[in-house]
Amino acid sequence: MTNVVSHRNGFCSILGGSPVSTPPRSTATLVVRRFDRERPHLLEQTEHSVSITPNKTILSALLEIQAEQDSTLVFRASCRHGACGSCTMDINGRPRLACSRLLRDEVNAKGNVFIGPLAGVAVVRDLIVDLSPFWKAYRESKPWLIRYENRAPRREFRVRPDELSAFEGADACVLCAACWSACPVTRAGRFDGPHALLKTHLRVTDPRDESPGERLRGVADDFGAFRCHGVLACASVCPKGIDVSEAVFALRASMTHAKAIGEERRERQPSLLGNAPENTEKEP
Amino acid sequence: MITETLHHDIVIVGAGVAGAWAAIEAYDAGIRNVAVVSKVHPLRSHSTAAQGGIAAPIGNVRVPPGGNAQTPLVPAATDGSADSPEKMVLDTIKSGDWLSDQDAVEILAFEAADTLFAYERMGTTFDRLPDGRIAQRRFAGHSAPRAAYAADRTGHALLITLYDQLLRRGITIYEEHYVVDLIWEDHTAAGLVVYNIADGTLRALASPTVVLATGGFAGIFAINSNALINTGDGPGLVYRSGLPLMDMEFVQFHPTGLYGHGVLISEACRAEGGYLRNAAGERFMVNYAPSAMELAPRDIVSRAEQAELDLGHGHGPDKQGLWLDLTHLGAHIIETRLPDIAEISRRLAGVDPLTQMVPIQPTAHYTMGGIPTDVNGQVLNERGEPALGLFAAGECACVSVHGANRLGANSLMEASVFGRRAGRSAARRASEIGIFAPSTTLFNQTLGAARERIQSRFYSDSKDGHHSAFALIAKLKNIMTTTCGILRNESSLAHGNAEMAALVNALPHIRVFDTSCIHNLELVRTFEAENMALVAEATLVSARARTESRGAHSRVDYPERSDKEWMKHLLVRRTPDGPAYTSRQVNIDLAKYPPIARKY
Repeated sequence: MTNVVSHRNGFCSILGGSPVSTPPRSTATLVVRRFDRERPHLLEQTEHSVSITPNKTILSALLEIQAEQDSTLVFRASCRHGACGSCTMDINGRPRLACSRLLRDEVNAKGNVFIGPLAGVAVVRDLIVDLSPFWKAYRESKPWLIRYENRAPRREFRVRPDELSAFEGADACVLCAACWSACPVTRAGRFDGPHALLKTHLRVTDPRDESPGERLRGVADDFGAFRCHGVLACASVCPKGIDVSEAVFALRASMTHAKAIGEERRERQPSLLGNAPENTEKEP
Repeated sequence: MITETLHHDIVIVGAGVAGAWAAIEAYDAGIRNVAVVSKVHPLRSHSTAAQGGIAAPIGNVRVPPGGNAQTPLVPAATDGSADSPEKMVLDTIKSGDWLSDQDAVEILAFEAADTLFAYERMGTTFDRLPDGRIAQRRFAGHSAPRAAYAADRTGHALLITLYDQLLRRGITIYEEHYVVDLIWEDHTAAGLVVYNIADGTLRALASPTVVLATGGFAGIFAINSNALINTGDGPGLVYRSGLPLMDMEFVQFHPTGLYGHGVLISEACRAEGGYLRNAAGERFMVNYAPSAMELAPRDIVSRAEQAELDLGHGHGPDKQGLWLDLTHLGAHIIETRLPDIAEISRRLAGVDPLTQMVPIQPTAHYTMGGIPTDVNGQVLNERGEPALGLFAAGECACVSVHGANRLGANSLMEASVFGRRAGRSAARRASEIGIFAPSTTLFNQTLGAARERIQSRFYSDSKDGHHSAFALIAKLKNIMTTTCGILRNESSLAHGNAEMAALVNALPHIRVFDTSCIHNLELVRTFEAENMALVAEATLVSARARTESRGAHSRVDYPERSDKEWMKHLLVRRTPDGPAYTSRQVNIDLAKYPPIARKY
């Protein structure tokens, strides 16, 4: 397991600090942990030298390596600016979006950047991991808006801006799985996961959702909000700066009065329709 | 390689806004066996990168009397009378420089409100007015504040809403599957050959209806705002089948891509009051669009920027940078309405937009052209007849709503409205056909041919003349940017055409070094290189043929719009003798929408 050792070395040199007077580097070495289950005899780790330019991101560096040095290096990527959540990987020991980290900021004093697949999940090949447990947890949280009655406004539901701000940025989540990777509880066994609880928080807070009570009861079991150990790793790694743990704590706090929240939600429904005439057109 | 055929009633390629809508509408029309094929996870689709807004003439806000482009907006009457679909039609046709088809634009404008409210009822987290109605903001070229938004991540809010609905319906999703071939039986679409990127298996999907919603192809330019996945796969498939592509010369360059990266800095920045400045700090738009200033349509602003850059007024090592100044907007507006832009500027450019100007440059952004369809998403051949069973919607299609230049915030709405319509027409066709039993021999043959083609990529029969997909793609982007950029002329286009023809000829010689079956991205890049080269060829051929300047297509040697000769769509298709053109008249009532010069 040489890769793990060298990884720690990387950290030590960061922690040890570097002389302030070090001139800016012109090249960096990307140390990439590799895996190919078809060919496990191949290198566990490869090193690639790339030039550092002011705007080069880790993703640009990886694309450059793939195109010019090693076409067998594989990773997921799509939007290039932190909107799609594809390129989450382990950069210097933390789950990061490769497109949103500048190479010059990630290089340590020895000129190295340590890159590996997202920690805590099964590796498929190189930097590509199997996120199916992550997506399963999301799907099982019933992330869609639940409406029981067919009454819908002719135009939009009237949602006040203060009700919207109660989401606390939960709608900005790009499902990149950084929180899932950092969370020690998801690694230890079955757990709904920070991302699914965040979405549940959004739906519980959304006045248009008619099942806040059921949702709260759903996350009150052994694998839901109370399984969270409050490590706050999710919030510390979220690339969108969402305080995920705050959402989990809010869910816990709401549980004691789940019934009252359900009642309140029912009472809120008529005013959601505003003054506009209603229609009874059935929603699909 | 293991092969098998799976049967569906409708197969949709692409899971962005258009594809997801098509799946939802088809499912709700009673077709349960709907499948979505996507080469990435649905939430990684490029729709998620749309930032500023989605246009709908619901009239929730208005400019106060006597106000100008910078006056804060106020809530309007609740009946929506502050705006109208008619105004949206007019704005879209004017911005499209009279190349938009009127029937398509009218459908867009008149179905927009219903579609926006459909999103809202499914839970989209739009920003709100104090009374709880959906907030709207100004967008360039719209005569009323018409763009509904969710901060500056509108596309993300819409896409996740639709993804949640796909999950709710349990619609089959083939994630990380790449479409290698369309299967045709008697000139009718019969299915697809898909390559599973995750494990390297090849499968046939038999389906009487195929909906292409693969997104745009502005990724063929070196500096572009597109996701890495936008490689023109749908148009490439169609073009290879001998069907035409339409209006390919019209590529929108967005005025504000992040300098050096190309990623999008939303038009919402200018809509909220941001300024454009050259290296000397001057608001140069005063010389190009004195009344609309920064909020002139994108083609005009991008050309103004290119003119400034050509005058040497740019900054940066290559003098290709300009500035977007948001410093006067204040922390509140930037942090609440443009949070992602602030984040992109800080993370990728290392500047704080609260106190520093953001470096920008024009970036290839949106492709107005694509697969010609009617207003129901039915793909048409060069004679305007339906290619049965094949539908297209979203940026890969050309209905044509956007004409020669798209208005901001119209793309999300166009993808939504026509994605829904394509889903409904596909459902109609699937239910008419009922049990679909294509020829097994045909499927075996197509699969076998695809398998052989893929396998041949791994073997070299001679020592020289091999190419890497990565190198060819880099070369292709370079050709497009240098010969077919914002400003074009005959000599650059002739040069580009010749170079692209050579590049297309090199395609069969691409060899794949990576032999893995698991996430072999080099092989995927090889598939993509073929599609990119074909759409690039179609773009160059069309750009050279259109000897006028209209909307985003700007010919230095033909600077005027020529309505007499060129108020028509150009369709280009592959024949054994090379690309062949046909044209189709624009569907427009000139008495109702008389062509005028566009002044902003």
